Amino acid sequence: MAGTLRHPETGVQAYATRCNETRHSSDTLLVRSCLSYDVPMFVPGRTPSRPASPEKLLSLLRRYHVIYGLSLPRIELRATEITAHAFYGCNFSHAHLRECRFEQCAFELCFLDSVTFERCVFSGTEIRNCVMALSSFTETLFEGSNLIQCNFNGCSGNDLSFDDCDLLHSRFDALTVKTSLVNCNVKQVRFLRTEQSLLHFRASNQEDAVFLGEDGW
Amino acid sequence: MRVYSHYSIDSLANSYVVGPSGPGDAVLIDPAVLDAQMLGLIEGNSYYIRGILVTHCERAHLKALRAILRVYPRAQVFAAVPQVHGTRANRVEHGQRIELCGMQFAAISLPGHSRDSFAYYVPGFVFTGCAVTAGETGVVQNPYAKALLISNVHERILTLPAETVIFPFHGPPSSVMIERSLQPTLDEAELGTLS
Repeated sequence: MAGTLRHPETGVQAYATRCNETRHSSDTLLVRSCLSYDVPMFVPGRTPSRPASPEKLLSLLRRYHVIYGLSLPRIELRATEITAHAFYGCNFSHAHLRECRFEQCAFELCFLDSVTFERCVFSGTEIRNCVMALSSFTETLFEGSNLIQCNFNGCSGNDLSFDDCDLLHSRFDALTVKTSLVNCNVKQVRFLRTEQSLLHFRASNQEDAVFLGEDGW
Repeated sequence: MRVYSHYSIDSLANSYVVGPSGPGDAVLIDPAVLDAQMLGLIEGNSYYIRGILVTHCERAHLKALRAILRVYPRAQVFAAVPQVHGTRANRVEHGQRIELCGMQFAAISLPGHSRDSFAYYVPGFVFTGCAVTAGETGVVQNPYAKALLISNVHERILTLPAETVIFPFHGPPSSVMIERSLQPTLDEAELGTLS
């Protein structure tokens, strides 16, 4: 029978009871009040043809602090400050974020690909397994944040900065944006097909990163 | 259907659990590790692992296979070879449909990184193992293998629906739409020489 095997010694039942799951009426949205933030999940979301309304997101953020499986592609946010919210398996593809500040937030398995970031700041934010590929960055700063195994491939723009960040196992393939990495952990970070003149390292362990050219197989 | 990702910091590798919205049978892709977090992920969702899909029979992909089978002894193993790490497996072939836990996985052969490399596609997601990662094809040993892998990736992975999410064994996720513009290509002359 499914799900009958239990291992009390591992505390998994305790884990299960910590999670008090509630369902929102929206079709793909799941919101959990969960003490544990370690369950990355991806739920396929619909892609509407119209930009998602920022009011919908802001209204959800007022009600919930942890959001699962939300799909709001092409959303446009301006001068918005989001603090202490967690997003899991959410889709914000092709969004336009201008002068937004994310503080003490968490993103896991989220799609932020082809997003335009203009003068945005991510501070003290935990970003894991997220896709920011093909995005455009203008004067965008990640500070004091963990960006573990994130996909920045093909990003463009004119200024992307990481200050005091952990970028373990992230990927920066075919970048065309000037990128500054100050006091960052870049262990196993891959900079493939990226001109080194675009990369500025200071107080970072770039000797632990991987640099490969066009024929780097 | 939901997909849960588990990242092992030891081997810098990903395993995935695919299961229903509620309790039930689930599929594990690449049993690289069985730690408290992975067990919590399975048991916390009241899943029972019924199928194990192996993308490539390298030790790193199979480190937790025996332990998983001791915990979930009724799980069936699917791989390109009939025996995996001393365990009997159901041999898969290119194009085969695998019915597991109410889901249908399509097996996609992607030789190049190794002869036994397979990807598994379920509508919305493709689990590519080492053969395709974000922005790269897998490591190969010679130019012929490189050409073979790149051509197979373009023919069999990048032709999937654009919104398909790519979940590799190493590195971050991606999507078919993104990889269409970032995966390496071979120019026609090079392919012509090798064909």
